[in-house]
Amino acid sequence: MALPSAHNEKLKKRARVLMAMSGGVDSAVAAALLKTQGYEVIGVHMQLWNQADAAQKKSGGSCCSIVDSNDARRVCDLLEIPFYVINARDQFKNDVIDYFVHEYLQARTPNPCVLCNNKLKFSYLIKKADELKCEYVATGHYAKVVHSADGGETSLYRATDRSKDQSYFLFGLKQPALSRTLMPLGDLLKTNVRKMANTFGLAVADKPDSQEICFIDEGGYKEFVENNSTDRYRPGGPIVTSEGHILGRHLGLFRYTIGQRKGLGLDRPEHQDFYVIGFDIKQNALIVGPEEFLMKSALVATNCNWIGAVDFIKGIRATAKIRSRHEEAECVITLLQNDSVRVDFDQPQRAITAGQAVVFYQGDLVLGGGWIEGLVEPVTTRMRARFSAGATK
Amino acid sequence: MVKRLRSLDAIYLDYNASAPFPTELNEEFSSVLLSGYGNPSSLHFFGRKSRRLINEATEFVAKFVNADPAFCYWTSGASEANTWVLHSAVLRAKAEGRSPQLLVSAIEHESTLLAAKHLASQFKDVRVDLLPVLRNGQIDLEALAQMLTQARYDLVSVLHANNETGVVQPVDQLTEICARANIPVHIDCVQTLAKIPFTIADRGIQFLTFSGHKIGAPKGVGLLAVRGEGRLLYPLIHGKQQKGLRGGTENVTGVTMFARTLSAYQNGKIRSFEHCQTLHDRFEKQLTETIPGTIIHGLGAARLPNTTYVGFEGLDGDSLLMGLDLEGVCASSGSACSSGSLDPSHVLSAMGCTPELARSSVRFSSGPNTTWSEFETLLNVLSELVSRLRT
Repeated sequence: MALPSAHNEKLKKRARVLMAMSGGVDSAVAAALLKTQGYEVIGVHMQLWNQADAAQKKSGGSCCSIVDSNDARRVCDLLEIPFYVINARDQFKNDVIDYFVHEYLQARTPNPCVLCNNKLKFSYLIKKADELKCEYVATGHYAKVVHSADGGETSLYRATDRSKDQSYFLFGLKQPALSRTLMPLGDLLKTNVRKMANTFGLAVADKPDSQEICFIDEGGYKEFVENNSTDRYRPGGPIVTSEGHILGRHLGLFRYTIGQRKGLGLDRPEHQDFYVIGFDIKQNALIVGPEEFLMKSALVATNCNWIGAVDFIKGIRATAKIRSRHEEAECVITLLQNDSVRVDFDQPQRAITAGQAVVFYQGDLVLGGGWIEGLVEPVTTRMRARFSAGATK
Repeated sequence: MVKRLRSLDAIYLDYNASAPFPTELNEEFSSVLLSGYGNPSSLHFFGRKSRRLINEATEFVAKFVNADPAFCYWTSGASEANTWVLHSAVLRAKAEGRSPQLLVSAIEHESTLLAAKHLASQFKDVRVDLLPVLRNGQIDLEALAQMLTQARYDLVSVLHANNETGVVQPVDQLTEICARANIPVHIDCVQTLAKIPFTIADRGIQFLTFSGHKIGAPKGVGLLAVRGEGRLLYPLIHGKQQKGLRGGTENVTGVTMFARTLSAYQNGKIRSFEHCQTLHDRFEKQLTETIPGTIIHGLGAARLPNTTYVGFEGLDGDSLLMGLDLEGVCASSGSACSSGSLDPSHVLSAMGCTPELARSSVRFSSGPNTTWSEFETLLNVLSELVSRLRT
């Protein structure tokens, strides 16, 4: 079944659209498409991070450098549409950066892009859209927003270009925002988007795709966390097995992620194939073990958002992605309470990681998602018992 | 509505950022552009012609601002001129064996503030103090007198009228205080030239700086007028031109049009800013009457006839500016910034304004061609926009 285009003829033409322009090729083409479809397009570039720092360190590949804002401006000049830069740096710092650092300090592995979309980007853009009398907000995301003809629920689908699909990052969108959102690239292949950029004469046609987290530079996330937190929140501690054997010392739990093998600094040859399998926060211990210990079949997710109505009377069969590059897996979702769910996979999954988002699909339809709180049967170590036994002697 | 953006119907209320070129001077401009191509340093006919254009311009402007044409220097703009003044004051103090001390007002244009900051970071012994301002935006003369007893400054730098608030400084009192202490004074006259009668007295002021595009001349022309001796200056840009103090081929067209534009204001060929006073008085009255929570900055102080800087409590000034732009009204949040970095105005902060009110502030600055009907449209647009943004 061919899905109706997000910007189908039923939507009123000449409607005013606030187009979020990152400075990259995708949002540029999206803006051009909307313009040719007859929308009154207003380009907006959000400054999220200190662009002076970013501009010095990078010339591309991340949001918010002055280069990107200038690229977005040039595109808007070419399309003859107004262009504004809006400053969301304080909100970004409060909502995204602080969360990012805080999560790592709690030995979780955050996904700032999901949070930025869900907590900041869309709510901020909708507010700006109201201020500027725009009916819609549009972005260059690869995902399909399908508005119902009768004013009912709006649905979110995976993009046609599966390799570029960004629906994972958008699971937190709620109806009030989604019903006013356009994603003109949902039906397009990235290769065609680049071709269209050339056809439209957009200077950003050959600009490389952004890859990394926009505020993390060459120093990597570890350096970023170190620069943005005090030392005493990042103490070193023991590396242990789940049996409680101490194998070495770690340099602060934030430096490790579930499934990591390299850089553990374990000396003994029999430990060379050990992976990070969990954290014991109370003991500040890094738990390691052989690869099979990474394979787990059930997780708990909290703060879930459901895009459409979902009926939980029976468990829901769906597929789930436990990180953005995960090959999704068959599962059953069971409602626990409020907005928490338990997810049972048909097959064990590798490296289920607290702090990441889990996103649920039925076919190409995005049901919603939540934040992985942990495993149903958490990885533990006997170390605590041993330590406390030792203490009572 | 966006259509108006691209047509001549746009309401332009951003003269303090840059003034449109006066169409009355179209022919003059093209003739200067076509005939003034010779290098003023060349000995041939076209060189002489360009030299003559420059000399005539220099003489006219020097006379206009009570300066000696022999000590007037053309620059790329007022930012260069301001930087040059500060730079020279520092080098002169160092040459005379002192640790340089600069006193700049807290509400100076960024070209001055950033130059001062840069000098202080470049040379360890440079000290920069900020001269505080009163809540109405005027410099604090009592504080000045006090500060002059504490330090022997090599330069005091003050804007004649602030670009954001339009508040005109009590320059005569300032220079009197500084003259008593024998401290050189720099007055940045960018916003006052052609807007208010030029009454800056001879005494006490060593440096005056000006900009062409604020009166409608082409961008890229500024002037530094030195009263007294040229040896006060140390070149920033080296070359044999302008007595070796400011290298680079003179901007013949820009310089000539600077003088011709100024002359056109003087002889009435183009309208003056005088009538702006009536428009702004009426605008401010109606604005405060019709829209609650509007606070006009610099009330009670002498202000430029063409400037109203107003805070709209409880909204975001940048959103208001975007909304105005979409309705075809061009205004500004104060000091123009190319990157769109949107920090609260340092001028309003120095006046004790809260960051929230500062961020809600928008500047309307009119010009010779502004009409009351444009302000009427503005009032209508504002009342709709402000109530939308406050919900």
